[in-house]
Amino acid sequence: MSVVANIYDSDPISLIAKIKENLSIWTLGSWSHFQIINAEPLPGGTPMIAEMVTLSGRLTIAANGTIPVTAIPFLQPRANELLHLRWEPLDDVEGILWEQATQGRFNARAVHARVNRFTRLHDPNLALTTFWVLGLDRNMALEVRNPNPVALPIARFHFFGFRYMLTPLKAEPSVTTYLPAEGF
Amino acid sequence: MDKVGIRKAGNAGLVTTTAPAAPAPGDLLHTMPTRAIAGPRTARITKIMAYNNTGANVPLLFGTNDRAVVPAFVQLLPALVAINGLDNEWTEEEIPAVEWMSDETATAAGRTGNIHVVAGSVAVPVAGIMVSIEIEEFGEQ
Repeated sequence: MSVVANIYDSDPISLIAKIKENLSIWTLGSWSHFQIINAEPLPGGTPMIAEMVTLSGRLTIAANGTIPVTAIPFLQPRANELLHLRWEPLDDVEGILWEQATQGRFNARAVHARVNRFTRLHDPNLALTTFWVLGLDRNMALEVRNPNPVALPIARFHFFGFRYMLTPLKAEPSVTTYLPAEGF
Repeated sequence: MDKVGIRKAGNAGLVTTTAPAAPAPGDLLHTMPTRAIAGPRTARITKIMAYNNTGANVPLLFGTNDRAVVPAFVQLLPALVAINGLDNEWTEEEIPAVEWMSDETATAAGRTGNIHVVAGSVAVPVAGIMVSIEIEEFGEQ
């Protein structure tokens, strides 16, 4: 039976489908179909911390200031790879998620939600921060805001999750897990 | 259940009190985030450390002033006496949960605004007391 992935359940992060199962991903305005060949966790740690002040070529993030949308190099997958990630800031800054620097994630008609140090209070597993990066040149990007009236020398964001290796399928499989990975 | 916030040092860092002409406005210890940028946050002082080497015991007055209708120092905690030659410390259990607010709206009571300290009194401020605070900012709980 085909199912829609329970990607925003409040549980700790886990694989959305098992190895050798099919995955249908909503991306670029249509469903693309894949089989999961392999998967492995990305448990985080130092290599998965993005320090956005340095990454954007600054010395500080200004008081009440912004770091414009910036791609994070270590979150750029290979072709036919899918990253499944959750995240939070380690410093008192707010992150605004973008797809390809132009399409905002976590937004509604009149609001673009942010992830900050308070997010874990009402969402302990950071489930609401879940996002996906599929394949080459489909990068995520992060905008950072400093809510403090003083400049900060550091703005760290920590990411963790899974990496899936996929193989494309020519037709929609009869049994698959549907993953609405992109914003709308 | 009490609120949970973001704990950090007062963003003015280590402050040495000054003795301007009376009435003293208070030395800035922590600037609150502004509503437009961070939403209306509040902050409690969770720890105070003060070192007094002036030769006499000196009261420390914690309050605010900069968002009153007529800016003037408004004391929000009872005076804490910094004993001469001692490392004076007050921790969360000993400090009432007074919340400084980031709302920019000026109020007659002056209860919104940044965290300031006056050493001595507003009429006779004392210079040279080193003060550092730890605060907890609340915004979404």
